[in-house]
Amino acid sequence: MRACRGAYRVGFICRTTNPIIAYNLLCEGDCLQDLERLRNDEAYLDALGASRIPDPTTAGDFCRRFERGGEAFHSGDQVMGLMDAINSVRVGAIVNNGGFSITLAQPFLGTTNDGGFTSEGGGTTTLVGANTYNGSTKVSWGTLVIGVNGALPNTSVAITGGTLQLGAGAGLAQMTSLSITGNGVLDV
Amino acid sequence: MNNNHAIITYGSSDPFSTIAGYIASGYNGGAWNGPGVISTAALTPTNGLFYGVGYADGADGIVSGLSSGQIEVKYTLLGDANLDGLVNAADFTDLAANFNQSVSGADVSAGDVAALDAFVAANGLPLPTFANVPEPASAAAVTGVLFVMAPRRRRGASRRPS
Repeated sequence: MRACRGAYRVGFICRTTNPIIAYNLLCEGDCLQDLERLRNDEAYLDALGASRIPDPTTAGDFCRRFERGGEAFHSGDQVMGLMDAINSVRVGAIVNNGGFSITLAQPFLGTTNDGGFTSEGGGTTTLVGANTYNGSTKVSWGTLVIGVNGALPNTSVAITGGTLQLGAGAGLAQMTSLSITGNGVLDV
Repeated sequence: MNNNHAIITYGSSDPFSTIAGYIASGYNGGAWNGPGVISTAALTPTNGLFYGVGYADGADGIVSGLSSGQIEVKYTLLGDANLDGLVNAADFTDLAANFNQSVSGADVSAGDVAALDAFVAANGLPLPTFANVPEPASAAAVTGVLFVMAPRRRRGASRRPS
């Protein structure tokens, strides 16, 4: 508590000048050298109740940054489980055309569990890149045009509103599933 | 002119009836403006030819190259039963071989018969003779699914604007 009070007494330094000096004062140091000394003083840090977070120089250090139910992650499987959980809520690329007609030539390149591609906006979005995303292709409103063959990767397609249009150059469009709900339209 | 088609490679559950439902709702009595699968290109004839949206299940073995577990949806000529982009004797053979067959709970309609008559007449083909085939009530009855191809269920069917 004394450290905090001390820091706030010179709060203008903390906010405007040099946060290292403020941290030094928090550690009750009088000069910059105290900072290095005190942050390595285990007894002092224990007395403060401070937790030491190791630099993530090893996989173990990285795993210890995550806990689930009070248990640290130690195994690769646990870390992978965590990553899957994160990936499961990925929303992927969302393009809102803002009511304009836009053409996207740069491909959306896929990664594992990348969340796919969502088109929205009252205008028209045209895909002409060789997209490889792995997640679903979703159209929530507006029009998404597949301008060339290969612009629609072989993924699930969900049209919850708006139109997915296979343009004149789309040719064969492959998909793993097709779901059309609401006022969604697939225009072949 | 578009030459688009989509192939849905499904998993364990066959979505054939769902896809057919999408096309039926999109067709919307010929307006092609309903939710589901539509073809704006099919609204107007191209070079005097009428187009629609055909669909087929690879499990039925009608469409060459379409594997079991796949459903094809294609913008194509009306009457293109095997979705090869042509309307020829191969389509007629499939049609004739399965004519007057029905899927469970469905009957061949007067519209089907009228469509066959029109198809045969338009292509200069001899009219096949079938027993117990009802006469069409009127030309206006020609709507909805035109051709029945499969003994087990409709396939390779096309929808057209009336």
